Amino acid sequence: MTLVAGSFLIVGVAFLFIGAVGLVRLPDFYSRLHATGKCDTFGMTLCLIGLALYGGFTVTSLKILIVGAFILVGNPTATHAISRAAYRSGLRPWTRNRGGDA
Amino acid sequence: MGAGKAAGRRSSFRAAAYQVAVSTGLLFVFWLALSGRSDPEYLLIGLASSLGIAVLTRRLLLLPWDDAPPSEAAPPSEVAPPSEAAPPSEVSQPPAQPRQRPAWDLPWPRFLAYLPWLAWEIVKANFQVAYLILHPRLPVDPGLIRFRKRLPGPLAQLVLANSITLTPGTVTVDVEGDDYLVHVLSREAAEGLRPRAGGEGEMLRRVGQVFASGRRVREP
Repeated sequence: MTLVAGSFLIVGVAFLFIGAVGLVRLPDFYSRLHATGKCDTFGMTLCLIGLALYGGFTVTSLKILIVGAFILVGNPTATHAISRAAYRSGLRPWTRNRGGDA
Repeated sequence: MGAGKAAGRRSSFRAAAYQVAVSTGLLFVFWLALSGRSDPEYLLIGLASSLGIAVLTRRLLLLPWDDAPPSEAAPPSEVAPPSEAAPPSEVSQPPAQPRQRPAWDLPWPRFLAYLPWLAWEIVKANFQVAYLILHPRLPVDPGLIRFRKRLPGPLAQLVLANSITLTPGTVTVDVEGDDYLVHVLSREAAEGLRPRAGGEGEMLRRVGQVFASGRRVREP
């Protein structure tokens, strides 16, 4: 069980790392949101599942899973709110043929 | 006339009481999970605050739910930059009574059946995005697409918008009425939303099915 929990944690941390790399490498605001919105949600959820497995059947594990559920709903909502704010204030997305002003 | 009004008021009171009862139950279970204690004192405090919150948030949790027949999804198209984006034309709605449902009143069996598929899509999405990010040449080709999908109410829209954000290279930027504005990280990522030979994209079809009006609205 510890092994399973550990591998969940490692993969989760790997995805968080990839999300951070994406935040640096991607060309503009909107595409950076892809990195944070997806990789962070996924990585964090994996980490939390790993921790819950490590804890076993306890109230703490249940709480950790509840936190995971909130992240799963909250993170895309926040991503959406941020991107919408940027779109409304007129930020144009970067594209291949036209370098945007981001 | 007067009797009918009174009956209407009575049944709407029953609907309200039902909603408060279910909300209280859900909140109380949540309280139990978080507190992890079972002394009578704690249970009493938990029950009282659950009830109070359920009463106070009753109006907040009532969401419009309109069971109008779904219109066909318009194909996604390239979107003009924000300055030129025309506001979506007002669709004249029949002046029907806006029906409402409490926020937890999902079609749960179909929604739960949708979740495993969504989870698998999320896993695939993450490996795709990870591939794009770690590829030395960064083969991204971002852009905006717009499409239209008729869904019964904000809850269904929330599920679709959040599902889009969590899955392959797509982030929901804006939802206005039935129009969705989605930022895609690569051209292939847009495929899940594009109409296929079999109709609309996989995700649209599935979310539409979950919230299809097969089940009748609980009339208050």
